Amino acid sequence: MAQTIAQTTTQEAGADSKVAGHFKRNRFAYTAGAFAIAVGAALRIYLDTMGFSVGTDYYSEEFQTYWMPLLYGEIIFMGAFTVILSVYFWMTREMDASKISKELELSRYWKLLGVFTVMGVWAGAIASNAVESDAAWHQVTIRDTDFTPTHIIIFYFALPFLTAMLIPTFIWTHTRLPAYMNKISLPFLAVVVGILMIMPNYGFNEWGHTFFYAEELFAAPIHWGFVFLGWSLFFLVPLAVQLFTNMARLIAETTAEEGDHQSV
Amino acid sequence: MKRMLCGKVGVNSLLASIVLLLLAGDALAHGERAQLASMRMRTVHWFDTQVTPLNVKVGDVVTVTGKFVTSVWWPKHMPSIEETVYLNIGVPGPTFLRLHSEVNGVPMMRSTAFPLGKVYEYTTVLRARIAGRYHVHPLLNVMDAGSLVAKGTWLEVADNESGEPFVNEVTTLPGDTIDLETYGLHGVGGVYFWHVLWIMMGVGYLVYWLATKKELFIPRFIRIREMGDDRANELLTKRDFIASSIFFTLTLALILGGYLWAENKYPITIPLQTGLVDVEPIEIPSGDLEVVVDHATYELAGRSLTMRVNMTNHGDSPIRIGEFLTANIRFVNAEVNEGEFYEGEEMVSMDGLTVSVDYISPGQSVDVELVASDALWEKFRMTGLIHDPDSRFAGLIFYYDDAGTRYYQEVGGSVLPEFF
Amino acid sequence: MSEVQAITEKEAKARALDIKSLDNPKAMKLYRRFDGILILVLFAFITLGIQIQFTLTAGDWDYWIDWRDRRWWPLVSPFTLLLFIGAFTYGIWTRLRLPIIATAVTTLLCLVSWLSRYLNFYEFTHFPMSFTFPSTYIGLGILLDCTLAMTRSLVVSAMIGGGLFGALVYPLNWSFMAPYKVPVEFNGTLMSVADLMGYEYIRTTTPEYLRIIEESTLRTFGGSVTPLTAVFAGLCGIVIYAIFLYVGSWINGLDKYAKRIV
Repeated sequence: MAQTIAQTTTQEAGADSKVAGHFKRNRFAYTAGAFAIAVGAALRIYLDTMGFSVGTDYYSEEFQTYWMPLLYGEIIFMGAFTVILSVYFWMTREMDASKISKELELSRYWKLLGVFTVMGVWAGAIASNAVESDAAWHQVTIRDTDFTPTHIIIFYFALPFLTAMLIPTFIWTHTRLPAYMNKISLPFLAVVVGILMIMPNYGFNEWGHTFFYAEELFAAPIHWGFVFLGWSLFFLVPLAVQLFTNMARLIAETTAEEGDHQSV
Repeated sequence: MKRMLCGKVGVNSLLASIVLLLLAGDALAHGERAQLASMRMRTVHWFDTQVTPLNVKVGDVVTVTGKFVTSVWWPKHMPSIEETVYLNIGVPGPTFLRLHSEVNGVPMMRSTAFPLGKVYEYTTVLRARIAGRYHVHPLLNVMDAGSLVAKGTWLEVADNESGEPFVNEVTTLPGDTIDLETYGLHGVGGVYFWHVLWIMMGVGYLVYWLATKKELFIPRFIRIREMGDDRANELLTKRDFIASSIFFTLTLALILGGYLWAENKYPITIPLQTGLVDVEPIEIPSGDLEVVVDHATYELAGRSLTMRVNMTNHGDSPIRIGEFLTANIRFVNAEVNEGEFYEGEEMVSMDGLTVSVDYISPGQSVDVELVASDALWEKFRMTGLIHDPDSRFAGLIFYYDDAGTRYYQEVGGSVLPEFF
Repeated sequence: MSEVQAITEKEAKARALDIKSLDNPKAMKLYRRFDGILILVLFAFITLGIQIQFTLTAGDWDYWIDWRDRRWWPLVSPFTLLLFIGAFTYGIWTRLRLPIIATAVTTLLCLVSWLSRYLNFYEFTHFPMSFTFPSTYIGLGILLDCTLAMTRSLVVSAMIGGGLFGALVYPLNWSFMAPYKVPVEFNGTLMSVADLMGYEYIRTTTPEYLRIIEESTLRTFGGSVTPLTAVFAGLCGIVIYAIFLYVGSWINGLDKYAKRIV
């Protein structure tokens, strides 16, 4: 159904059709990916240096000087990033899908994949750097408040920033790609909502810690909320299937037309 | 790799030292200030905590000794120390090696249980492993309750000039001397060897399926959609079958071979060891003083706890009240001038305790007002007492007879706030 | 002609074009490019997903050598891994006929665990690698994927591969774990090398009693806890893998669009 709409509304196989263009390096993915790695590395170095030196006691002046401003900065940055991009993408949305050429549409899919690549880089950084840093931290320090250095980096930045990237991407996809316009992709929605829900789930986690405030068992049931929400990544498979279907069709059409043009 | 490591450590330590230079003071607490005030007052009373020496080099031995009394005012909502408890040490992870630890003479490799209202003497022997400045806290992990922390003492660990890598050698029962720092990692059949082998197997398998095929995701997707589920298996070639069976056989052979090899190389192995040990408690050395708490008030503005108690001296020597200890803070009666103070000791209020009666003579029964007053209440967030769901306090009163012998006993009860 | 038929006809035409594109080298080049990006993105997210799930369900057993016991670790680890693998495998197998997920998940977990242990447990908190090296499950992943590739059936592979995956955790890791179970005498108490490391390398808030490990002596079966755990883990593996293949089939059917969010 979705595919047919995409097909019928992409009438123009404009003269700008250049398959070669699709082999260009995705500059966005490279620069934004490098930026993501740089931000991750900077945070990591900050954690390594400032974690044990000034980060063990929330009630100390040093903690308020060196860690809380980082937290406020992260929240302001993420909030602004999500809201500004989301509003901008919505305000500048395409009204008429039929005006989008297949060429442009396909190039937007590559762009979308570029954004996913950046998210992938960020996800890899979280997996290798952040997740177990919290585990290691809690094994060797006495738990004090929700605002420990590792939480400030993972809970309040690294994971929510995935959401901060996903929400504008979700809106962009649903306002720029004809196959997604005027409807909602279920698997994409599931991924976004699942990752988004990790933040409210901190409530469950930290509420649990008001009972078991310092037993550092990582397999504890109060942590399983995160596991369940992590399962939203299962929806990447049907989301990939949507991309297979849509992109295959666009590639098939554009390359076939290219061939026809050449043969004429 | 090693150079990179050194570089990173170098940059980190440079940044860390800049940070430390910028700091006005030291971080005095490590999480314990976030614990409820009433909980810190009513669980474990730590005293005589001593860390020696305070300046060491990597490889040197540090001894931590002290005593604690388990409170009979233990909060009912909190899992009790009478179930399962483990003597631990609050340093940031393995910056030290623990060579030995004991409570009342019993080695504490395992967990134990402590009845309430008794005294326990502990010793922990550490060996400095990583250079740095550490706040060393003795602590007890109480099952389902968490870490109950004694006060910390700053300890300076300098690098060892010899620059030789830290080794931690032990001799196993079969007679081999091993270095636990790197044990089992290197060489053929070590952790690195097997992990590299398995990662190569895994990557090799993925390369076969993802990099040697002419058609991958979208083409396969299109073909399967065209063929339908019934015929889709035709996509799997004979070559796939052969490759899979080779990987399957090789994997099974490696698992079995590795297992037999290890069984042969390490014929004597045991399961992980665990279980509780028993510790005989010591009675509290309370003298012949009877203490009945009438009531206690806490002045928010004055940062002071006032206790009105009735004391009866049943002994034959006059008694002087020297100190009140709660939540690791020592409020000392300066007029009595008894009690030991240790090098590097923190959380001591030298004239924090005023007592309305100088001497309690033998046979005398008297109402006494004890005022424990100091800014330390504020600093260690004891003002949070007002926010606790169970506003009660407990602490140890230390007192001395004529001969200077020290006695102590626990007092406790409800505490009312005074706002103005 | 009804509208539905018209759509079907169009769809059929488009699909024919899709098939035709497989002979078009230009299209194939673009498909190839897509492959590279998808592998990167999918593998990165699988890495994050399995790292979060594994650390919060079986992490404690994997962080410390003195947690890897005979009764709980070989049961919990394959359980949580197969759960994750099952959900992905269904979609990737039915849509692409690629038997790669089990190997991918276990290999990626192993790689990311090494990186993470090095950065977080060795660099950040100073534990020696000999105390916190990860376990490996790669061999089990290969066995599961190979049974799927050879039998070409999810059900049969669940029965054989899922069972092997659950059962062989202990033998697979024993090759490098055995030295840590050699006995030592310490303060007159018998300990394994792993126990001694757990005692000497201080974990401030991970006390000895927190370990969920085999505690009692077995009253029967001649003390053969390892093989019995293996068989039970095999059963759990089969069941949980089958259940999450089913979950995967449900999720795989959701490649749909809705008109609005209800």
